[in-house]
Amino acid sequence: MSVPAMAVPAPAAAEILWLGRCAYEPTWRAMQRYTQERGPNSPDQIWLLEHEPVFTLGMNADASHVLAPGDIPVVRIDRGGQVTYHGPGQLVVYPLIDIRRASLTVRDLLNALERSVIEYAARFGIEAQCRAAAPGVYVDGRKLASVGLRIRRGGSYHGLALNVRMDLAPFARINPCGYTGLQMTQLSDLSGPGEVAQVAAEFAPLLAAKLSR
Amino acid sequence: MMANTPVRLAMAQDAALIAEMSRDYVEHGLGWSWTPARVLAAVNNKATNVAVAGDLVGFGIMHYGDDSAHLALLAVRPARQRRGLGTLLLEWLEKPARVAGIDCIRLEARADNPSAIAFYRHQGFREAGRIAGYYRGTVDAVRLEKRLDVALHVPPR
Repeated sequence: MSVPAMAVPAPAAAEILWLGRCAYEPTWRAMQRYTQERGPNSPDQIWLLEHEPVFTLGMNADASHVLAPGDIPVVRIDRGGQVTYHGPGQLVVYPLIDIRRASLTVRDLLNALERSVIEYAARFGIEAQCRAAAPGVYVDGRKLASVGLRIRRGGSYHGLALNVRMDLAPFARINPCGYTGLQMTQLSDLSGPGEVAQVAAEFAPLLAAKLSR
Repeated sequence: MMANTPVRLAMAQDAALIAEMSRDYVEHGLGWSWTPARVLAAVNNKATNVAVAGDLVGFGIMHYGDDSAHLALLAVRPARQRRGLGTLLLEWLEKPARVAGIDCIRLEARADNPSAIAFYRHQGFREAGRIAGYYRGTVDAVRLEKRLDVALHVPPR
């Protein structure tokens, strides 16, 4: 059997990690650290988790869109986008990808996230759509998933929040994504699944396949 | 009809026509710096998006850094102007910038093209300086910047 002398290794598929329920700030710091410290041979990783309740404000978000946070903490962070809410029952997906090595643009990564949600929702007969000018995935004008990313040293962090079966009431305390009165929806209200861990297990391979093409 | 015009990434075979549009609609009187080879390099650059509207009725080229983006070119065929195609292209190019936390988009426009400057003002750009003789030492440039931190109050289309 002959082996090519200069075999080019195929890009390894991203490692998929289910992290369960996580507090926001330590997870955010861990993403930053992974991106800051990663080298040319560090694997890409896709983190899947759900957060404790938190409002996060994108770098340039207008704090006045947090109308009445009540007892939910507000954290200003380093991703794109406006204000959003994370909480139990929402699947959070953080693709930590060396986008230069993977030969992806930011638009490719965004498209992969949005299209994975659209394809996943379609398995349950849910017709979801993305929009040309605004990120995220929508069903009948209601928002099912939000996207916000950050690129540092060619590495991506932050990512996607997909509403599965959660208390949507905290979204009423903000103008989600900066839009007054934007309504949210979730998979379990649309005849989709209601277990975050199950959605994570089914969603991750869809996304990983799109990122390794 | 504007909303029905698709915007897509340019392919290699679009480069020649895009370069010709730059020469005829943007660079007239200034020679030809956006040659087919330069446009093709932009099409193949992963940090750059070359966007095409419809049947090449317009195009735009934006380069994305970690913190800011630069709009290198944007043009719509004269016969198809004033129908929202420039807005459509610009919004399409801005989307990844908004997603990725880029807070500022910069561009230079010909100082002798008041309708282009008016378009960018309408799109939320503000003048941030003038560069004498920026184009071949003969035409000044107006530098324009758009902050992406301006909150939106109307739902997106």
